[in-house]
Amino acid sequence: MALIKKKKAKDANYISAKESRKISNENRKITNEIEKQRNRKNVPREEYITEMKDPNNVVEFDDLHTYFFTDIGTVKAVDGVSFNIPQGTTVGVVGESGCGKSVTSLSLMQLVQRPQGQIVKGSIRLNTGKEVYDIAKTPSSEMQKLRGNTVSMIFQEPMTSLNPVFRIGVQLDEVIALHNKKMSKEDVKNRSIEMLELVGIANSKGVYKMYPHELSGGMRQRIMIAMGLACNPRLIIADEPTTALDVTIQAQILELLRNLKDKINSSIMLITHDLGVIAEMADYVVVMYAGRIVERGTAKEIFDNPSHPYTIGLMNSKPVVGKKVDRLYSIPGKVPNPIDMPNYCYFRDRCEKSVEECAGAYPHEIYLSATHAVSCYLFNDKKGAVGNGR
Amino acid sequence: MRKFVIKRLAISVVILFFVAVIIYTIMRCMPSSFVENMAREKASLPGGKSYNEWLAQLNKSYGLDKGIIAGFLQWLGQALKGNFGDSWEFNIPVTEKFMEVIWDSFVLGAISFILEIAIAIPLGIAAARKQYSKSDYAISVFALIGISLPSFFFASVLKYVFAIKLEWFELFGMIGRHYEQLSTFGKFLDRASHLVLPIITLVIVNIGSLMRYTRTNMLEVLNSDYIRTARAKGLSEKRVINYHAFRNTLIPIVTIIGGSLPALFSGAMITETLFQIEGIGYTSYQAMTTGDIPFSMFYLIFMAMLILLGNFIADILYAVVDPRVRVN
Repeated sequence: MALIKKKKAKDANYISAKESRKISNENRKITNEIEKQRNRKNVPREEYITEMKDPNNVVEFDDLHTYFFTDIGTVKAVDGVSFNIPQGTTVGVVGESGCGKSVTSLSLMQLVQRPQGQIVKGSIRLNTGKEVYDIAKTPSSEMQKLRGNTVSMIFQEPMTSLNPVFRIGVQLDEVIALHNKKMSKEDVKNRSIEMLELVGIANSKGVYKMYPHELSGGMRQRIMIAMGLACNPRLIIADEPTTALDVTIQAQILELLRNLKDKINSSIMLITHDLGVIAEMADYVVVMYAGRIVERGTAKEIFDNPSHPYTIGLMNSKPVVGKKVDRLYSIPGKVPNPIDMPNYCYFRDRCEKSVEECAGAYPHEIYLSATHAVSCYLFNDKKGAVGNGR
Repeated sequence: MRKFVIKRLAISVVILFFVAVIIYTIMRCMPSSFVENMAREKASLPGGKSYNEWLAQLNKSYGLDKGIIAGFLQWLGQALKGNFGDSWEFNIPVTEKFMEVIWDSFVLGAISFILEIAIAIPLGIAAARKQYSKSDYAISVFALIGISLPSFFFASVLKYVFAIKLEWFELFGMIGRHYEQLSTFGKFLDRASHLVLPIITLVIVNIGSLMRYTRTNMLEVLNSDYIRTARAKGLSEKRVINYHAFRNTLIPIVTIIGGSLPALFSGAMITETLFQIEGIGYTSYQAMTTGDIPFSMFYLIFMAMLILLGNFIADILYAVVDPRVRVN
């Protein structure tokens, strides 16, 4: 199967050394330019301090484009993503592997692998309460003050996300001391132990002195959460926080996240491909496919009235208690090659409902309600449509 | 921990015994026998006995008339008492000759070892930090040149440029012609200037592999999840590299460094020969070519012990830098 496919796809994927060299030279030119722009010293504050469109939002993604300049071509990992995270809510981002969920969140943290990965267009406005930063233009030195402080991130791999050679206490103290320069050593330690208790670790003083390898996966994920919450961030990015954990621990961790969110009144950007998790946690849902948003709305709208064929496919491919099926549904095909994407709906070739119009340009967002938007030709002239987006 | 140390020591003794057996057997089977050469020399002198008569007599007096096993047992018995016998080639006790030559080699080895570490690790880290940049390529090319250059070639080039053309340093030897007339400080400077070229040779030739190794490991560490976590905390790039990444890069590096400790005492045969430094490498080479069994045995056993000790030290260092392998 794979062999036959390879032969067929050879023309699309094959690239000669000469071409590759040409591409990598061009890439270097582009990335050097961007890096030069980014590495300037003393960037004036006016360049990256902006205004929010809606001051109730913590984050506004506005037409974000994050590209990876690889030797075989430009990968448009995030290609025009716009959505908002209102204060105090949980926004779930769903999609298959490789559809740009993580890159969206890494862009917000400025943790995209540079120099290959770059934000080339658009802006990410982050509201710290006092000022609004445009992350796409913020220099690294300023970004370091925001990371771990205003925005923090919980990664999907608790087993490898803690530094194996340092004690838990050292790693926790580090982030607290970094963002609270005035705190004494004793206070920092007390705060760390308090955080460990907050995430439900019983033997907090003992764990404080342990090394990561002495803890289980669930415990390590709790440490990661404690680390993320230590400075009372306004936004927590949870990148598949429960994927590596078993189901009982998953429920505990989610419960923990939800409680803590309410306790420190922050927002959560929850990235997952588990719709069950989304249903339980999220207020708003963003469905991504191949670097673009195909549907977004409140959790109720998405679950009661999934509109985009991809969302419907995702819904059908999750097991439902009480419903008997022989075989769980799976969306045929796979995510397309991210290099040289065609200018038509990326889902067209896998879509069961595709119509003639689908051959046309990539569909605009169509609003089904004030909060529910979908990018699909099926809704172009349906009654449900409220009007064309933008 | 104590159990671990005792176990390792016991294993080391067994390994040493077999190493000694193998070395002795090889030494006895070597085609160039010290005794044969001597017999030939004596027989060619006018008058006296024939070659065969000399051979039999010399074999008896040097203890080579016994079989390999009996000879080995006799050597072992004496060695256990601390008596390694007299060197055949140098005509003084083996340990005396050894003490005479080891320190020059040690100074040479130690200085170049420290320089290697001090240069290779920072350069390797710098290369990894800016992967595929101009400085990375420059460092990699430099490392590859170092790895590929044979020491005899590189030493010859250095000698040609700095000793013959520029006349900055002496061509070879340990001390200058006027050494005896110099003051204490002058003597020190004289010796130091003679060491410059050999040390450069050793450093350049050995630096490449350590540098490449550091670079590869640093790259691996920099791509790991916990470095991303460290960055996500808001730490400065300097702290991420010098604290979080460096501690992890140290883990494989200490094993390499621990393992290369014997090199401090083993001497550098080719370099020492080229610069006519009478160090242990040069001396052991002479002993080996003339078939000097007592000296070669002592030197090789000493090396084997150092290698075992180096591995042992590496294991302990490993536990020091990596909490995951600490034995409770």
